[in-house]
Amino acid sequence: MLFVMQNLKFESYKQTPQERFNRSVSVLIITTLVFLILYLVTFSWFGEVDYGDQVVTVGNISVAVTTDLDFTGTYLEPNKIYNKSTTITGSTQSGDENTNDAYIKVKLETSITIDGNPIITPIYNETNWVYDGSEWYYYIGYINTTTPAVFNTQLQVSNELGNDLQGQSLTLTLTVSALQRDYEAYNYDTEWSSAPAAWLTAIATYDVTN
Amino acid sequence: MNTEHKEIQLDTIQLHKKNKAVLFTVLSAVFLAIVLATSLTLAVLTDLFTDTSNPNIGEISAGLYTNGGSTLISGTYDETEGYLIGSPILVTMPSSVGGTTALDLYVKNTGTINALVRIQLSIYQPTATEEDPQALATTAQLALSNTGWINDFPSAGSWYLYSYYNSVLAPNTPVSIGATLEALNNTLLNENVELMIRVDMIAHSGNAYQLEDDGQTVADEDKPFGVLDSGFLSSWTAWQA
Repeated sequence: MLFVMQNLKFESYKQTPQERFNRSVSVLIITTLVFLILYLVTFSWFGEVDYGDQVVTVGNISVAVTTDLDFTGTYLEPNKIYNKSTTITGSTQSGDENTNDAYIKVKLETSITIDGNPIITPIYNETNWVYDGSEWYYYIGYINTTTPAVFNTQLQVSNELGNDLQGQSLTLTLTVSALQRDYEAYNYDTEWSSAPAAWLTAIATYDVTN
Repeated sequence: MNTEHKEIQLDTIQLHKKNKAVLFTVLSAVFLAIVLATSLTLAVLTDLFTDTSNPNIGEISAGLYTNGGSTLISGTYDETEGYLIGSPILVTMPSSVGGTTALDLYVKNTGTINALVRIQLSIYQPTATEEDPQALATTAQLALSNTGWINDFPSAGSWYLYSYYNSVLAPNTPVSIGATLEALNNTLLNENVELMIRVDMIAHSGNAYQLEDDGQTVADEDKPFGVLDSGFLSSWTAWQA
Protein backbone atom coordinates (compact mmCIF):
# COMPACT_ATOMS: atom_id res chain seq x y z
CA MET A 1 0.00 0.00 0.00
CA LEU A 2 2.75 2.40 0.97
CA PHE A 3 4.66 1.34 -2.12
CA VAL A 4 1.65 2.00 -4.28
CA MET A 5 1.04 5.35 -2.58
CA GLN A 6 4.63 6.29 -3.17
CA ASN A 7 4.37 5.33 -6.82
CA LEU A 8 1.22 7.36 -7.27
CA LYS A 9 2.84 10.33 -5.60
CA PHE A 10 5.81 10.04 -7.90
CA GLU A 11 3.61 9.87 -11.01
CA SER A 12 1.58 12.93 -10.03
CA TYR A 13 4.42 15.41 -10.62
CA LYS A 14 6.48 13.44 -13.11
CA GLN A 15 5.38 14.11 -16.67
CA THR A 16 5.24 11.32 -19.14
CA PRO A 17 7.20 11.63 -22.35
CA GLN A 18 3.99 12.21 -24.26
CA GLU A 19 3.00 15.01 -21.98
CA ARG A 20 6.39 16.62 -22.34
CA PHE A 21 6.10 16.35 -26.10
CA ASN A 22 2.65 17.86 -26.15
CA ARG A 23 3.83 20.76 -24.03
CA SER A 24 6.74 21.38 -26.41
CA VAL A 25 4.44 21.46 -29.42
CA SER A 26 2.07 23.83 -27.69
CA VAL A 27 4.89 26.21 -26.85
CA LEU A 28 6.13 26.09 -30.44
CA ILE A 29 2.68 26.93 -31.84
CA ILE A 30 2.14 29.78 -29.42
CA THR A 31 5.56 31.22 -30.13
CA THR A 32 4.93 31.09 -33.87
CA LEU A 33 1.59 32.82 -33.53
CA VAL A 34 3.10 35.60 -31.45
CA PHE A 35 5.82 36.05 -34.03
CA LEU A 36 3.32 36.26 -36.88
CA ILE A 37 1.19 38.82 -35.08
CA LEU A 38 4.18 41.04 -34.44
CA TYR A 39 5.38 40.62 -38.03
CA LEU A 40 2.06 41.53 -39.58
CA VAL A 41 1.64 44.57 -37.42
CA THR A 42 5.09 45.98 -37.89
CA PHE A 43 5.68 45.32 -41.58
CA SER A 44 3.67 46.94 -44.34
CA TRP A 45 4.75 47.56 -47.91
CA PHE A 46 1.93 49.66 -49.10
CA GLY A 47 0.50 52.98 -48.46
CA GLU A 48 1.38 56.49 -48.02
CA VAL A 49 1.71 56.69 -44.29
CA ASP A 50 0.77 59.92 -42.65
CA TYR A 51 1.65 60.23 -39.03
CA GLY A 52 -0.15 63.47 -38.44
CA ASP A 53 -2.19 63.44 -35.28
CA GLN A 54 -1.22 59.89 -34.58
CA VAL A 55 -3.39 58.75 -37.53
CA VAL A 56 -2.05 56.31 -40.08
CA THR A 57 -3.62 56.68 -43.52
CA VAL A 58 -3.19 53.91 -46.03
CA GLY A 59 -2.98 55.03 -49.70
CA ASN A 60 -5.33 54.08 -52.51
CA ILE A 61 -4.91 53.32 -56.18
CA SER A 62 -8.07 53.91 -58.19
CA VAL A 63 -8.19 54.66 -61.89
CA ALA A 64 -10.78 56.61 -63.82
CA VAL A 65 -11.00 55.50 -67.44
CA THR A 66 -12.76 57.40 -70.18
CA THR A 67 -13.12 55.14 -73.18
CA ASP A 68 -15.33 54.85 -76.23
CA LEU A 69 -16.09 51.25 -77.18
CA ASP A 70 -19.54 51.99 -78.53
CA PHE A 71 -20.25 50.63 -81.99
CA THR A 72 -24.01 50.92 -81.81
CA GLY A 73 -25.45 51.27 -85.28
CA THR A 74 -22.09 50.53 -86.86
CA TYR A 75 -20.92 47.36 -88.49
CA LEU A 76 -17.22 46.57 -88.45
CA GLU A 77 -15.59 46.92 -91.84
CA PRO A 78 -12.25 45.34 -92.76
CA ASN A 79 -9.21 47.57 -92.29
CA LYS A 80 -11.39 50.45 -91.22
CA ILE A 81 -10.20 52.94 -88.62
CA TYR A 82 -12.63 54.34 -86.06
CA ASN A 83 -11.99 57.48 -84.07
CA LYS A 84 -12.30 56.11 -80.57
CA SER A 85 -9.96 56.97 -77.73
CA THR A 86 -9.12 55.92 -74.18
CA THR A 87 -7.79 58.21 -71.44
CA ILE A 88 -6.70 56.99 -68.01
CA THR A 89 -6.24 59.09 -64.92
CA GLY A 90 -6.44 58.80 -61.15
CA SER A 91 -9.91 58.80 -59.73
CA THR A 92 -11.22 61.85 -57.90
CA GLN A 93 -14.45 60.19 -56.93
CA SER A 94 -15.37 60.96 -53.36
CA GLY A 95 -14.66 57.98 -51.14
CA ASP A 96 -12.41 56.37 -53.73
CA GLU A 97 -9.88 59.04 -54.46
CA ASN A 98 -6.62 57.97 -55.96
CA THR A 99 -3.81 59.06 -53.64
CA ASN A 100 -0.73 57.48 -55.15
CA ASP A 101 1.07 57.63 -58.44
CA ALA A 102 0.47 54.49 -60.43
CA TYR A 103 1.98 52.57 -63.27
CA ILE A 104 -0.57 51.21 -65.73
CA LYS A 105 -0.90 48.61 -68.40
CA VAL A 106 -3.80 48.07 -70.80
CA LYS A 107 -5.07 45.25 -72.93
CA LEU A 108 -7.72 45.14 -75.65
CA GLU A 109 -9.31 41.79 -76.37
CA THR A 110 -11.88 40.47 -78.80
CA SER A 111 -13.79 37.26 -78.32
CA ILE A 112 -13.12 36.37 -81.95
CA THR A 113 -9.52 36.30 -83.09
CA ILE A 114 -7.71 35.67 -86.35
CA ASP A 115 -4.60 33.54 -86.01
CA GLY A 116 -4.66 34.35 -82.31
CA ASN A 117 -4.75 38.11 -82.89
CA PRO A 118 -7.68 40.33 -81.86
CA ILE A 119 -9.89 41.60 -84.64
CA ILE A 120 -9.72 45.13 -83.27
CA THR A 121 -6.38 46.67 -82.33
CA PRO A 122 -5.48 50.04 -80.84
CA ILE A 123 -3.71 52.82 -82.65
CA TYR A 124 -1.48 54.42 -80.05
CA ASN A 125 1.66 56.47 -79.56
CA GLU A 126 4.45 53.92 -79.63
CA THR A 127 6.76 56.36 -77.89
CA ASN A 128 4.71 56.16 -74.72
CA TRP A 129 3.66 52.54 -74.72
CA VAL A 130 5.50 49.22 -74.89
CA TYR A 131 3.63 46.21 -76.24
CA ASP A 132 4.63 42.89 -74.72
CA GLY A 133 3.89 41.06 -77.95
CA SER A 134 0.91 39.10 -76.71
CA GLU A 135 -1.70 41.13 -74.84
CA TRP A 136 -0.56 44.01 -72.60
CA TYR A 137 0.53 47.53 -73.44
CA TYR A 138 2.70 49.07 -70.73
CA TYR A 139 2.73 52.83 -70.20
CA ILE A 140 6.09 54.54 -69.90
CA GLY A 141 5.29 56.94 -67.14
CA TYR A 142 2.75 57.14 -64.36
CA ILE A 143 -0.67 58.52 -63.76
CA ASN A 144 -2.37 60.28 -60.88
CA THR A 145 -5.33 62.59 -60.47
CA THR A 146 -3.64 65.39 -62.39
CA THR A 147 -1.48 63.39 -64.77
CA PRO A 148 -3.47 61.37 -67.32
CA ALA A 149 -2.32 58.89 -69.93
CA VAL A 150 -3.84 58.49 -73.38
CA PHE A 151 -3.88 54.92 -74.63
CA ASN A 152 -5.56 54.54 -78.02
CA THR A 153 -6.53 57.49 -80.17
CA GLN A 154 -8.22 55.22 -82.73
CA LEU A 155 -9.25 51.61 -83.16
CA GLN A 156 -8.57 49.62 -86.31
CA VAL A 157 -10.30 46.51 -87.61
CA SER A 158 -8.26 43.70 -89.07
CA ASN A 159 -8.07 43.45 -92.83
CA GLU A 160 -8.13 39.66 -92.55
CA LEU A 161 -11.87 39.33 -92.01
CA GLY A 162 -12.98 36.34 -93.97
CA ASN A 163 -16.40 35.48 -95.31
CA ASP A 164 -16.86 33.07 -92.42
CA LEU A 165 -16.91 35.99 -89.98
CA GLN A 166 -19.53 38.05 -91.76
CA GLY A 167 -22.42 39.10 -89.57
CA GLN A 168 -20.97 37.74 -86.36
CA SER A 169 -21.14 39.57 -83.04
CA LEU A 170 -18.07 39.75 -80.88
CA THR A 171 -17.20 41.02 -77.41
CA LEU A 172 -14.64 43.80 -77.16
CA THR A 173 -13.02 44.15 -73.72
CA LEU A 174 -10.72 46.88 -72.48
CA THR A 175 -8.80 46.15 -69.26
CA VAL A 176 -6.66 48.62 -67.34
CA SER A 177 -4.38 47.38 -64.58
CA ALA A 178 -2.76 49.87 -62.21
CA LEU A 179 0.05 49.34 -59.73
CA GLN A 180 1.61 51.67 -57.22
CA ARG A 181 4.61 53.52 -58.51
CA ASP A 182 6.50 53.32 -55.19
CA TYR A 183 9.16 50.83 -54.26
CA GLU A 184 9.36 49.10 -57.67
CA ALA A 185 6.25 47.19 -56.76
CA TYR A 186 6.25 45.56 -60.20
CA ASN A 187 9.05 43.34 -58.91
CA TYR A 188 6.74 41.90 -56.25
CA ASP A 189 3.35 41.68 -57.90
CA THR A 190 2.99 38.48 -59.91
CA GLU A 191 0.64 40.18 -62.36
CA TRP A 192 3.54 42.35 -63.50
CA SER A 193 6.21 39.68 -63.52
CA SER A 194 6.12 39.36 -67.32
CA ALA A 195 6.63 43.07 -68.02
CA PRO A 196 8.83 43.44 -71.09
CA ALA A 197 12.47 44.33 -70.60
CA ALA A 198 12.10 47.46 -72.71
CA TRP A 199 9.48 48.79 -70.33
CA LEU A 200 11.48 47.89 -67.25
CA THR A 201 14.40 49.83 -68.62
CA ALA A 202 12.31 52.83 -69.53
CA ILE A 203 10.30 52.93 -66.32
CA ALA A 204 13.36 52.97 -64.11
CA THR A 205 13.52 56.71 -64.68
CA TYR A 206 10.20 57.07 -62.92
CA ASP A 207 10.78 54.72 -60.00
CA VAL A 208 10.52 56.00 -56.44
CA THR A 209 12.35 53.94 -53.87
CA ASN A 210 12.48 56.18 -50.80
CA MET B 1 8.81 -9.63 -16.27
CA ASN B 2 10.80 -9.77 -19.50
CA THR B 3 7.54 -9.78 -21.42
CA GLU B 4 6.36 -6.70 -19.62
CA HIS B 5 9.68 -5.00 -20.29
CA LYS B 6 9.43 -5.84 -23.96
CA GLU B 7 5.87 -4.55 -24.09
CA ILE B 8 6.95 -1.33 -22.46
CA GLN B 9 9.78 -0.99 -24.96
CA LEU B 10 7.37 -1.58 -27.85
CA ASP B 11 4.97 1.01 -26.49
CA THR B 12 7.81 3.49 -26.16
CA ILE B 13 8.94 2.94 -29.77
CA GLN B 14 5.41 3.37 -31.06
CA LEU B 15 5.06 6.49 -28.99
CA HIS B 16 8.25 7.92 -30.45
CA LYS B 17 7.05 7.24 -33.99
CA LYS B 18 3.75 8.87 -33.26
CA ASN B 19 5.47 11.87 -31.75
CA LYS B 20 7.72 12.21 -34.78
CA ALA B 21 4.72 12.24 -37.08
CA VAL B 22 3.00 14.88 -35.00
CA LEU B 23 6.15 16.98 -34.82
CA PHE B 24 6.61 16.81 -38.59
CA THR B 25 3.03 17.90 -39.17
CA VAL B 26 3.31 20.81 -36.76
CA LEU B 27 6.61 22.02 -38.20
CA SER B 28 5.19 21.85 -41.73
CA ALA B 29 2.20 23.90 -40.67
CA VAL B 30 4.43 26.46 -38.99
CA PHE B 31 6.59 26.72 -42.09
CA LEU B 32 3.58 27.24 -44.33
CA ALA B 33 2.16 29.83 -41.97
CA ILE B 34 5.41 31.80 -42.04
CA VAL B 35 5.58 31.64 -45.83
CA LEU B 36 1.96 32.74 -46.10
CA ALA B 37 2.43 35.59 -43.65
CA THR B 38 5.51 36.75 -45.49
CA SER B 39 3.75 36.77 -48.87
CA LEU B 40 0.69 38.51 -47.48
CA THR B 41 2.73 41.30 -45.97
CA LEU B 42 4.21 42.08 -49.44
CA ALA B 43 0.84 43.38 -50.68
CA VAL B 44 0.95 46.39 -52.97
CA LEU B 45 -1.66 48.90 -54.09
CA THR B 46 -3.43 47.90 -57.29
CA ASP B 47 -6.60 48.57 -59.20
CA LEU B 48 -8.32 46.90 -62.13
CA PHE B 49 -10.82 48.40 -64.57
CA THR B 50 -12.72 46.68 -67.39
CA ASP B 51 -15.23 47.79 -69.98
CA THR B 52 -16.90 45.82 -72.76
CA SER B 53 -19.02 46.28 -75.84
CA ASN B 54 -20.47 43.98 -78.49
CA PRO B 55 -19.88 45.23 -82.02
CA ASN B 56 -21.07 43.31 -85.06
CA ILE B 57 -18.96 42.40 -88.05
CA GLY B 58 -20.45 43.67 -91.27
CA GLU B 59 -21.48 41.46 -94.14
CA ILE B 60 -21.69 41.65 -97.89
CA SER B 61 -24.61 40.33 -99.83
CA ALA B 62 -25.96 41.14 -103.29
CA GLY B 63 -29.03 40.65 -105.37
CA LEU B 64 -30.41 41.57 -108.80
CA TYR B 65 -33.78 43.29 -108.77
CA THR B 66 -36.46 44.57 -111.08
CA ASN B 67 -39.44 46.90 -110.53
CA GLY B 68 -37.26 49.79 -109.59
CA GLY B 69 -35.21 47.64 -107.25
CA SER B 70 -38.06 46.20 -105.21
CA THR B 71 -38.49 42.72 -106.70
CA LEU B 72 -35.71 40.18 -106.44
CA ILE B 73 -34.94 38.26 -109.59
CA SER B 74 -34.61 34.60 -108.87
CA GLY B 75 -31.02 33.49 -108.48
CA THR B 76 -28.43 32.19 -106.06
CA TYR B 77 -25.89 34.04 -103.97
CA ASP B 78 -22.54 32.62 -103.05
CA GLU B 79 -19.89 34.44 -101.03
CA THR B 80 -17.22 33.57 -103.58
CA GLU B 81 -19.30 33.31 -106.75
CA GLY B 82 -21.53 36.31 -106.24
CA TYR B 83 -25.18 36.51 -107.22
CA LEU B 84 -26.08 34.59 -110.36
CA ILE B 85 -29.55 34.76 -111.83
CA GLY B 86 -31.24 31.44 -112.39
CA SER B 87 -32.31 31.92 -115.98
CA PRO B 88 -31.62 34.46 -118.75
CA ILE B 89 -33.55 37.70 -118.79
CA LEU B 90 -35.29 38.29 -122.12
CA VAL B 91 -35.31 41.84 -123.48
CA THR B 92 -37.13 42.74 -126.69
CA MET B 93 -35.09 44.99 -128.94
CA PRO B 94 -36.67 48.13 -130.41
CA SER B 95 -38.40 48.10 -133.77
CA SER B 96 -36.20 50.62 -135.49
CA VAL B 97 -32.55 51.42 -135.78
CA GLY B 98 -31.65 54.02 -133.19
CA GLY B 99 -34.58 53.05 -131.07
CA THR B 100 -34.14 52.06 -127.43
CA THR B 101 -35.64 49.60 -125.00
CA ALA B 102 -35.75 50.55 -121.35
CA LEU B 103 -34.14 48.21 -118.88
CA ASP B 104 -35.57 47.62 -115.44
CA LEU B 105 -32.64 45.89 -113.78
CA TYR B 106 -31.03 46.94 -110.52
CA VAL B 107 -28.21 45.75 -108.39
CA LYS B 108 -28.73 46.11 -104.67
CA ASN B 109 -26.34 45.77 -101.73
CA THR B 110 -28.31 43.64 -99.29
CA GLY B 111 -25.48 43.53 -96.77
CA THR B 112 -24.68 45.88 -93.90
CA ILE B 113 -21.53 47.68 -95.03
CA ASN B 114 -20.49 49.70 -98.05
CA ALA B 115 -19.47 47.70 -101.08
CA LEU B 116 -17.78 47.86 -104.45
CA VAL B 117 -19.80 46.28 -107.24
CA ARG B 118 -18.97 44.52 -110.47
CA ILE B 119 -21.33 42.71 -112.79
CA GLN B 120 -20.50 40.13 -115.41
CA LEU B 121 -22.86 40.70 -118.31
CA SER B 122 -23.42 38.51 -121.36
CA ILE B 123 -25.91 39.43 -124.09
CA TYR B 124 -26.85 36.60 -126.44
CA GLN B 125 -28.55 36.70 -129.79
CA PRO B 126 -31.86 34.84 -129.88
CA THR B 127 -31.05 32.82 -133.00
CA ALA B 128 -28.85 29.86 -132.48
CA THR B 129 -26.94 27.98 -135.12
CA GLU B 130 -25.35 24.62 -135.07
CA GLU B 131 -21.98 26.27 -135.16
CA ASP B 132 -22.76 28.86 -132.53
CA PRO B 133 -25.72 27.91 -130.39
CA GLN B 134 -25.22 30.77 -128.01
CA ALA B 135 -23.80 33.51 -130.11
CA LEU B 136 -23.04 36.70 -128.30
CA ALA B 137 -24.47 39.87 -129.62
CA THR B 138 -21.89 42.26 -130.98
CA THR B 139 -21.16 45.84 -130.19
CA ALA B 140 -22.08 46.62 -133.79
CA GLN B 141 -25.60 45.41 -133.19
CA LEU B 142 -26.55 47.11 -129.96
CA ALA B 143 -25.35 49.50 -127.29
CA LEU B 144 -25.96 49.56 -123.57
CA SER B 145 -26.47 52.89 -121.85
CA ASN B 146 -25.01 52.44 -118.40
CA THR B 147 -23.88 55.77 -117.09
CA GLY B 148 -21.96 55.47 -113.88
CA TRP B 149 -20.35 52.17 -114.81
CA ILE B 150 -16.93 51.50 -116.31
CA ASN B 151 -16.94 48.70 -118.88
CA ASP B 152 -14.14 46.26 -119.45
CA PHE B 153 -14.48 44.09 -122.55
CA PRO B 154 -12.25 41.00 -122.43
CA SER B 155 -12.99 40.34 -126.07
CA ALA B 156 -13.47 43.47 -128.09
CA GLY B 157 -16.62 43.55 -130.14
CA SER B 158 -18.59 40.93 -128.20
CA TRP B 159 -21.16 41.64 -125.55
CA TYR B 160 -19.36 39.83 -122.80
CA LEU B 161 -17.95 42.24 -120.33
CA TYR B 162 -17.25 43.18 -116.74
CA SER B 163 -18.89 46.38 -115.71
CA TYR B 164 -17.73 48.18 -112.55
CA TYR B 165 -19.98 50.59 -110.69
CA ASN B 166 -17.98 53.76 -110.25
CA SER B 167 -19.25 54.66 -106.79
CA VAL B 168 -19.44 53.02 -103.39
CA LEU B 169 -22.74 51.20 -102.99
CA ALA B 170 -24.26 51.69 -99.58
CA PRO B 171 -26.47 49.03 -97.99
CA ASN B 172 -30.02 48.68 -99.25
CA THR B 173 -29.44 51.12 -102.13
CA PRO B 174 -30.43 49.86 -105.62
CA VAL B 175 -28.52 51.06 -108.69
CA SER B 176 -29.55 50.51 -112.31
CA ILE B 177 -27.19 48.38 -114.40
CA GLY B 178 -28.18 50.38 -117.49
CA ALA B 179 -30.99 52.53 -118.68
CA THR B 180 -31.53 51.26 -122.24
CA LEU B 181 -30.52 48.89 -125.02
CA GLU B 182 -30.20 50.68 -128.36
CA ALA B 183 -30.43 48.99 -131.75
CA LEU B 184 -27.46 50.03 -133.87
CA ASN B 185 -28.45 48.08 -137.00
CA ASN B 186 -31.43 46.12 -138.21
CA THR B 187 -30.23 42.63 -137.35
CA LEU B 188 -31.95 42.43 -133.99
CA LEU B 189 -34.99 44.60 -134.48
CA ASN B 190 -37.93 43.26 -132.51
CA GLU B 191 -35.89 40.29 -131.46
CA ASN B 192 -35.50 38.98 -127.93
CA VAL B 193 -31.96 39.08 -126.67
CA GLU B 194 -30.96 37.13 -123.59
CA LEU B 195 -29.11 38.72 -120.73
CA MET B 196 -27.12 36.61 -118.26
CA ILE B 197 -25.91 38.56 -115.27
CA ARG B 198 -23.73 37.78 -112.32
CA VAL B 199 -23.22 40.32 -109.54
CA ASP B 200 -19.93 40.43 -107.61
CA MET B 201 -19.66 42.51 -104.49
CA ILE B 202 -16.85 43.10 -102.01
CA ALA B 203 -16.32 45.34 -99.03
CA HIS B 204 -15.28 48.83 -99.98
CA SER B 205 -13.07 49.20 -96.88
CA GLY B 206 -9.97 47.04 -97.06
CA ASN B 207 -8.74 48.03 -100.51
CA ALA B 208 -10.49 45.81 -102.99
CA TYR B 209 -8.81 47.41 -105.95
CA GLN B 210 -6.03 45.43 -107.51
CA LEU B 211 -3.07 46.56 -109.45
CA GLU B 212 -1.51 44.70 -112.29
CA ASP B 213 0.62 41.72 -111.42
CA ASP B 214 2.99 42.91 -108.70
CA GLY B 215 5.11 39.85 -108.61
CA GLN B 216 3.50 38.40 -105.53
CA THR B 217 3.02 34.69 -105.29
CA VAL B 218 -0.77 34.91 -105.01
CA ALA B 219 -2.22 34.69 -108.48
CA ASP B 220 -3.88 37.90 -109.55
CA GLU B 221 -6.86 36.06 -110.94
CA ASP B 222 -7.57 34.89 -107.40
CA LYS B 223 -7.99 38.42 -106.16
CA PRO B 224 -11.61 39.50 -105.69
CA PHE B 225 -11.90 41.59 -108.86
CA GLY B 226 -9.07 39.96 -110.78
CA VAL B 227 -6.34 41.87 -112.54
CA LEU B 228 -6.94 45.60 -112.84
CA ASP B 229 -4.14 47.54 -114.41
CA SER B 230 -3.24 51.06 -113.47
CA GLY B 231 -4.86 52.44 -116.60
CA PHE B 232 -8.20 50.92 -115.70
CA LEU B 233 -7.88 52.10 -112.11
CA SER B 234 -7.56 55.67 -113.31
CA SER B 235 -11.03 55.30 -114.86
CA TRP B 236 -12.69 53.21 -112.21
CA THR B 237 -12.08 55.20 -109.04
CA ALA B 238 -14.72 53.93 -106.62
CA TRP B 239 -11.99 52.24 -104.61
CA GLN B 240 -10.55 55.65 -103.79
CA ALA B 241 -13.69 56.90 -102.05
